[in-house]
Amino acid sequence: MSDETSSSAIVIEHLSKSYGPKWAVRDLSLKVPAGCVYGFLGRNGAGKSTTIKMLTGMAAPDAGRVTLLGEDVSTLSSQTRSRIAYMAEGHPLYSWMTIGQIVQFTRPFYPNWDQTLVDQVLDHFDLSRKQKCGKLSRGQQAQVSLALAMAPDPELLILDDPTLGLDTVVRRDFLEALIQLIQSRGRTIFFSSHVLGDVERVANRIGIMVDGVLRVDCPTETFRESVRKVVLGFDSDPPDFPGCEGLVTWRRVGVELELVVVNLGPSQQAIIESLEPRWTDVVEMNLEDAFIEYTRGSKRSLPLFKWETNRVDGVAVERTA
Amino acid sequence: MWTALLSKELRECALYAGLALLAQTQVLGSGMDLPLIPIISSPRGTEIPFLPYYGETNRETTFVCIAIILAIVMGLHQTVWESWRQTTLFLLHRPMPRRQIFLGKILAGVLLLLLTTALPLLIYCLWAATPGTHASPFYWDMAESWWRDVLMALICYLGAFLAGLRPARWIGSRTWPFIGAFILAIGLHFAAAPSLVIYAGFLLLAAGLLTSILNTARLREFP
Repeated sequence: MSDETSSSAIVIEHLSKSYGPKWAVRDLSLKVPAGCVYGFLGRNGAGKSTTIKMLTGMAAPDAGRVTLLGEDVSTLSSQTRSRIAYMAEGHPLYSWMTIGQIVQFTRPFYPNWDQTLVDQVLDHFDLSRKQKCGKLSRGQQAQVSLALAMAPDPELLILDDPTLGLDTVVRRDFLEALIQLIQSRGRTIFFSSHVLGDVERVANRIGIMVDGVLRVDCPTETFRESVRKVVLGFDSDPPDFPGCEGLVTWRRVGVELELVVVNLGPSQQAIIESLEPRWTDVVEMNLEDAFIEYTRGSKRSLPLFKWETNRVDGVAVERTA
Repeated sequence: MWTALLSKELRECALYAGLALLAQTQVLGSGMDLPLIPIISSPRGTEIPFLPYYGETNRETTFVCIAIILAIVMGLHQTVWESWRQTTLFLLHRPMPRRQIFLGKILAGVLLLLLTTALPLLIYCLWAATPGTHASPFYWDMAESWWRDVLMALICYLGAFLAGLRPARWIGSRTWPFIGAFILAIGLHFAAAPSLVIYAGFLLLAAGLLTSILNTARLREFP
């Protein structure tokens, strides 16, 4: 096993899963370094949930393998599972239990249970131990789930859309609590989300699934800075764009031609200038805009966008896959 | 771990088991002239305990119906209900082998089923065996059909559990483990064979269902 693999909290190798004739996940390979906060993105039906199901052992892959904390997920021991926390989408809890009861139910499964931390988290969110889980709002269920997930002091957290359905304030509170816990304990977090603002705030690395294929795997900043929208202005109807390396999509908007390009450089500039536009504007995008432009482009021709790095501090050497 | 799991399962099925226990207490209590609610009980009259009775009610039929209904409800509740509420995802991620989690569920279900069928039946048998309680003979062999009813309910519980756990394209194919188990259990119950062979048959059937449950739990996808 290489150093990189052994220092990875999650290693996914050539993972594939199909439902009937449709590929839900196709040849997915990915390494999440220990200590990384990894945002796993994609539109509905892109394969995120299927991947997370395979990560947690709830679904068996057709091909490939997943290793969590150095152990194959298909034969994951109870000891290793106790070092991994998983928050399922929608935060399912036993509705008949009170918060106190669900804490009491969960506690005996974990040798490293930190009751002080549970109390701190519950107090922070002002949750009474006597409240029934079935009567909690979605946000409060997420908060209880977070307390239960953090209490065993897990080395790896897998969160399936943890902020889904939460209002802005609760979402912010939830994320801030999560960030505090990450910073104080330095854990690996793998989470899927539809809220790009959350991902931008928390994740230092992202992966983007498009139609079951992992198209992006790089530091968050790299992705955001590499996707550019170029607007070309013309006097009359714009010409067709001939195409260039890294082109995601192009479209006409009135007398303007809008291009979305990955890694805009001299070769693309030369092609753009050959069209002789009256003016050119290069627009920086935030993560949400970059994600939208990237994922709604022609899916078959999306430029693969993978950077591999051995470190999470952003200083590591990057190379294009 | 085991205590937490068993407590949870016992608590979740307690309502059904409690209702079934009340019903069995009423049915068997009436047979002992000690009904729970006298106003709705039929008097024992000339009925001889454990012998077929063709009066107003057949006590054995009522007893086995209650047991089987409880078995089906509990088996489905422990599987379909949990899956539907998605709490399976919460439960299965606990650091305990999946096989043990499902064994814990089944153990709790079997315990409750025995508590609500075998225990009242045992009390009824002991009452019938006690001299002076009724003016008719009693031999333990007379209760054998009732004990087979208990075993039949256990098989129905395992069949319902497997039907609830097993994914299928539609309800018809999903229920076949239960229907199959039920038909085989009825066949064993009424088979003209030595008791030992019949009990061995029940044991084999239960072992087959248990193996199938644990195998399905290991292989199936949980949504």
